[in-house]
Amino acid sequence: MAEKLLLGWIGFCGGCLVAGGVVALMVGLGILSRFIKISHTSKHTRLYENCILIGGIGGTLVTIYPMILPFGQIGLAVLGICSGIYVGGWIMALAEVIHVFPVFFRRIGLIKGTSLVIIAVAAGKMTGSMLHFFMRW
Amino acid sequence: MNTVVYMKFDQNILTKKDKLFLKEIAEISSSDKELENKIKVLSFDSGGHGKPGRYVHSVVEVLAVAAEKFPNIQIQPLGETDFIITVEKTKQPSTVWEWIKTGAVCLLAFFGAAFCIMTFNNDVDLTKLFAQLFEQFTGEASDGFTILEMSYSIGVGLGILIFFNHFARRKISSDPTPLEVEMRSYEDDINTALIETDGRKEKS
Repeated sequence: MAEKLLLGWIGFCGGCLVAGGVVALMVGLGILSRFIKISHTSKHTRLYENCILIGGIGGTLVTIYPMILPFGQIGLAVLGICSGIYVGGWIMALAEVIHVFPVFFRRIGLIKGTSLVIIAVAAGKMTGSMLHFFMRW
Repeated sequence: MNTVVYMKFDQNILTKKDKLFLKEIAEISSSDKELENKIKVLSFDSGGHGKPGRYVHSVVEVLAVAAEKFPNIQIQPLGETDFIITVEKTKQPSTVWEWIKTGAVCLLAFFGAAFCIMTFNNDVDLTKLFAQLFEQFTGEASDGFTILEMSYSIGVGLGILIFFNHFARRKISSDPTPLEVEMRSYEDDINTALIETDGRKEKS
């Protein structure tokens, strides 16, 4: 019994810290705040916070317990698109934190077509991801 | 009663010349228009001696130039206390070259991005997670390239475009894009660093 209690305590502590880390990363990178700003819906911030909470708990349950989710292909498509958009924003937020683009543009004195570079990144990500899955690497 | 002359300084001045007029360095205004015009055409040396580069100057140097010619005026400097004169090469690189450079970076960005997403997907073992999710959703075994992988791939590209608000240009909006904000704040950091480095050099 004592071992189980200890194990439960360890699991609880681990969960707390991981949750803190996930939210810190989310807030620190400003992915969601960027999406909120673009959609001009800052008055619903509390709702978004609740969605993060539910999403976090849901994701944990789905990956840890092999439950059946009868949502079929459409459910998968929605999940794929949303997680893809999130990962895309995440990647760019990371690139922004370390000033990849400004440093690069300044070094070679790039003035024209900076938005083309972004489109190239997006196209590259899409192609790379497709290839990766299609070729089953 | 001395005439007051207001001078507003910018942090960074872009020029191609070696000697600048004061009006190119600062916004100058005075109630005495004749005096104002005389001060505007005073000459200030960028300190580059014909070589392109960045030269840090103090506002006091400019005030000294003006005070030398007009000792009886009172100058009120506004804005920055130190500023940078960037002397550019007189010859502008051609547009073709600009586009070649842009094209090269686009290629680099494209293949770099493709490579990075593959390493990322492998790193977090997305293939396994997606196979598990597919089974949980449909009850069948995944063959590795399903609707989930496809929609995720499209989502990644879409997410990057949304993150940089790429669709906003169609709307009437004068807001700078996030990338432009980023570029600007980076430039400000560089200017601050240049000015502070220069200040340290003088003290030692």
